[in-house]
Amino acid sequence: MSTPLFWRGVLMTPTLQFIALAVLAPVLTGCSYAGLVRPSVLKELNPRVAALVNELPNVDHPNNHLVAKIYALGGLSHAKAGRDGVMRAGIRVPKDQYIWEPAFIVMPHAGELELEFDNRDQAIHMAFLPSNGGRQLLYLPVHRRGTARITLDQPGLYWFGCPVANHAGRGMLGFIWVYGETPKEARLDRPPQPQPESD
Amino acid sequence: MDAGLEGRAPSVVQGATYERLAKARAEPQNWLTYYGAYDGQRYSALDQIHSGNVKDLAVAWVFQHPPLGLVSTPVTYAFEATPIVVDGVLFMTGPDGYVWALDAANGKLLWQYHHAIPLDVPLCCGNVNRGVAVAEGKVFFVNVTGRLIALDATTGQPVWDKLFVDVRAGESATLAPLAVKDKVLVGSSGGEYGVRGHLDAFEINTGRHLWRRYTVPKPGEPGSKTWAGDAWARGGGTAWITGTYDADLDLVFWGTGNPGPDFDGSMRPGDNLYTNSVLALNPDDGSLQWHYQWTPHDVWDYDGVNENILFDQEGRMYLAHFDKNGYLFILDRMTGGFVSAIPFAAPLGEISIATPEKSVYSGRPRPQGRTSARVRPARRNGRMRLTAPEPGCPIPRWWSSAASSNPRPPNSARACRIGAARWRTAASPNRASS
Repeated sequence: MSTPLFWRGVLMTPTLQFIALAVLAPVLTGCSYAGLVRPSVLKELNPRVAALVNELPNVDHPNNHLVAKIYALGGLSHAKAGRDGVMRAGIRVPKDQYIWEPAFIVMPHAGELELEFDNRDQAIHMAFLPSNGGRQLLYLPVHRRGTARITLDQPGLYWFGCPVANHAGRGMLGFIWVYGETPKEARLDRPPQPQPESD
Repeated sequence: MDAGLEGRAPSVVQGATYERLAKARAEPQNWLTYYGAYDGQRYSALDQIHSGNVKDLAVAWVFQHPPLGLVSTPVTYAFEATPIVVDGVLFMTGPDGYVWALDAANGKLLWQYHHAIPLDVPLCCGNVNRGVAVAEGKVFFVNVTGRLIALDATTGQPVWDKLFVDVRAGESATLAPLAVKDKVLVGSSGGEYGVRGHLDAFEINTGRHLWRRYTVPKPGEPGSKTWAGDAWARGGGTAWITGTYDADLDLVFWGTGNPGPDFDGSMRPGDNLYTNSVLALNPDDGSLQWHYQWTPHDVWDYDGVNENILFDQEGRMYLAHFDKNGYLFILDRMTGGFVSAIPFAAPLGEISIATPEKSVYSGRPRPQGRTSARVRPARRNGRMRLTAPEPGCPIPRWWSSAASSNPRPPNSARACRIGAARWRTAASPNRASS
């Protein structure tokens, strides 16, 4: 039986598509971030994307929203550890978009991270990166590549960005998420404490 | 290392030995410790600037650190550091993990170190840092995630790095470390975030962890009966201000902050030792020699962590503490015995004294060996008459010596058992006995 023309029209309405995705997204992903991402990203909610969304860190409200926005711009990638123990990942700068792609790099643990940047844009960019000792600044001329090695020893969420003009404000902001727990010797001597529920 | 820096400072800290730090006041051209000297007096013998010419002071140079990008925790971040000066080199920290070495004559940046801080750290009380300690060629500082980092004072490069707090549990670190003998001492921050305060000691040259002293006892430890249930596990009492040190007594005097939760005392009935106290510690092993609690069962967030100033008078060794409960306390720093308490601010309430027989918290009798009777001070001509009962001692009576033109010193503090006298301020008589 064919769908009545009226209902076909309703289903084709982009607004209703978005509402349906927004309602279904948290069910699909089990993560509040899905409610924060843009419609264009919601449309891409295949199982792989859902898994990545679920990996996003559960942080406080201001960072929660920031993470969601940045993820929506450039997506997420995992750094891979080499035989030398150094973790590595690549980041592109696509043409005319003013984003990092991926915008979210996950380090499985604290340590050294080598980032290879590929500027495919027609504008000059820079990567301003967190690292112990001092932030690093990598110059990225038009259509050039560059590599930076940084060290991060504390689990948590770090930012990087392009300090040229207003590039960060236009979207060239990214995050590095370092997995890990506080070592036992630095923890408090007390029974496990109840934790607030995430929201 | 950022571009454009000298990248190197003169090796002035190499000669900053313990012996030299212990006599820091003999070098008025320098400021070698957080307070200028171990006694916490913050006194400078320099006399070139005085009341007659202070109006002529003008800016000689400015060092500016422009923040760029996102900073950990969006609440407060500010400069709260005391600069350390060693033979023309100024060492300074900023918020969010920055340390600088500057030429003190012209403000030129010699080296800079920045430890990366995650954005998502829960900081109870702001992204701040109170400065460095210097000793044996190294500069020591903590970052907000609770790392004690030793830098080479000449190059700014890290020598060792130790984590001593759990930032995911709500702890952080903000104080300037204290270098004493072959050790560097630090304390935790985060008293409003359900933590258990502590101090830690590390070996200066290797970073080896030597001891930890919790400021809130767990069940079975001395003082634990001043807590009910499991409130001790989140009892606060963080040690976020640098301590003072008496080399002759070989005692470190360290303040502790408010109990947690800070305003809701119903969740932690009891005196809540050792919050809002001064702890006299053996720096070699962290053992508690005596304590004195400024505000038992604090429900006003008096946070009595601030400095304990050491001074001598007429052959006696005293400790002075200006508490946020509005009283200046004077103790015998050898024994912890009470000497006097003088209100220095608008009256914040009556002050009561605990003795071994009766709890200052409940007002009810306690087993021998615990706190005891509550005494109301009388005021005459703006002065407060005090009694200072201590376990096993006669109750001395005297006028507050600092408030009197004819001071009458205490007669029994030295002979009394250490660490016994305790005080309480109360908003009302009813509150004190609730």
